[in-house]
Amino acid sequence: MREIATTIGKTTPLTAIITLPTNFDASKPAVLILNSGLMHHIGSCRLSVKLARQVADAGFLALRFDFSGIGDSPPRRGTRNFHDSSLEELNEVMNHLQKERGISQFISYGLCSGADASYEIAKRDSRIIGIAQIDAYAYTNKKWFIKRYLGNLLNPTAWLGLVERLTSRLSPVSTLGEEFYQTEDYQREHPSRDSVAAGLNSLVQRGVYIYNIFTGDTIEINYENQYRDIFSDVDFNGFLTLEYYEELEHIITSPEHQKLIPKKICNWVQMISASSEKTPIEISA
Amino acid sequence: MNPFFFGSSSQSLYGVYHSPNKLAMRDEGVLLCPTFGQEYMRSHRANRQLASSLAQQGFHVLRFDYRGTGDSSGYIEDVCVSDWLEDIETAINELRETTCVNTIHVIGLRLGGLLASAAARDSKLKIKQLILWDPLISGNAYDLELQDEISKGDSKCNVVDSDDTLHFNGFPLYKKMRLDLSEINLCDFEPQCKKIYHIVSSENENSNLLKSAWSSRDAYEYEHVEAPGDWNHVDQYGGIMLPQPILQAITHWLAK
Repeated sequence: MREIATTIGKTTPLTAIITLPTNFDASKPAVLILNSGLMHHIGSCRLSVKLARQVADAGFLALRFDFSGIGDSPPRRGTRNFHDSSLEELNEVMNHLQKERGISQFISYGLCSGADASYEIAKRDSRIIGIAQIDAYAYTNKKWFIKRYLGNLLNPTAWLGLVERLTSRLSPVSTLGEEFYQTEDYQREHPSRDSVAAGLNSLVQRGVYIYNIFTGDTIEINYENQYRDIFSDVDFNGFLTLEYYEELEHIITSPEHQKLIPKKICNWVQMISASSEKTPIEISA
Repeated sequence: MNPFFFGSSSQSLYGVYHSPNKLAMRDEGVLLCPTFGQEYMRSHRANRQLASSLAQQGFHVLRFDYRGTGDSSGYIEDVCVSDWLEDIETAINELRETTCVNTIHVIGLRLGGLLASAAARDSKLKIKQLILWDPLISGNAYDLELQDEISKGDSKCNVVDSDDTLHFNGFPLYKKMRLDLSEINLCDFEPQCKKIYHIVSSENENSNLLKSAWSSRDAYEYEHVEAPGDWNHVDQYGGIMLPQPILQAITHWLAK
């Protein structure tokens, strides 16, 4: 395994780190590892570095990069919003790997906004054969409400929490200079459930594998198979692998999960790569 | 900006070189020593801006990651403080050799300030000016600060485990690293450099201790510039911090 720093694009290049497996094979899909919010290309708690090294050890080229204006990639001129520019830049990155390394298939991984970008590029680009998302677009449903509110009625801790929340509203709020914090210009907006259902249907029909991991910090999800319930009108046909870790924080601070998640994603990458024909099979990560 | 790996191939370090504004080019290089953990994540943008701003003033600037952190080789469990001090030396040599500058200044933020000062005990490095931004004054003070944060119980992942590894906001400090760091106390030595600029975003007991210890030095300058410095904070979305007044003060001090 070897890591190479590179730039992609000529005038205002994107900064990328290629993790090259010892026995590089261009017929295998490359794994693209995207930014999460404003975090640069090492990823939350260095998760992207660990994932890239693991997939490279398993024989896949991994590319971590910064979208323009994030991390080590300078901002590009223009008036496009993040949604449009990120898709254009992903296309540029894939073109680069296709031209320079002869790779024609890709798997895209992302957490939060990176998960959104993975889904969006997969809808538009047939070179994407799989997406791994942490805390992807999600929506509440009836069972979520029941679990969230009815379950709390008999729970004294929940009542205590409510009192704390109400009293905290009366407490002074920190006046630390907000101007010193950079907020994302990318405001995460969930598209309608129906449009995501349509998108997922199109992905599955095309044979794109989807690996969705939800953390306990995803407000819209509070039970194990909720994603399948929300999208009960999508016939995933074995292309969806779904996991929910109630105890896990959104930025993956738990040391156990920092080991577990890259390992599971790596296993999933190996399995979908091995299934050359898109036979609907339940992939177990 | 030019990203690259340098150092030995088995222990390569990731760096980003910012070339100087040709109209104002100086025979001076600046090395930025980052901090660690979520602080490193939150300050990445600030470091990039500081590097760009110094390059605009004509300095050759190198940002880099220590082994086991960021994009550099290895994993945190395999490195110790002496490796990081060696990395600072490697980065200074890289900057000196690739740009041919005669003068090197080093900027260290928080843990980077502690490490840069420790590295500067070695006069061979020939650091001219040392800029310490909200420096940790000792490894023990850092440990106590993190333990105090852990005791607030904001996250169940913030713990000191049975192996004495301190886990804070998703980054571990192993026992060996904690012990190594506990041997560094800025009040006990003076870095070998011509001048020290100690800049803080907020004054506290530790910053005052260091000020008292070093104020008798001829070339010690202290400044308090009001700006956010809640380095232990973490949010769900990787919110980053840009304390512009500090970045401007450092740039101004170095460029004057």
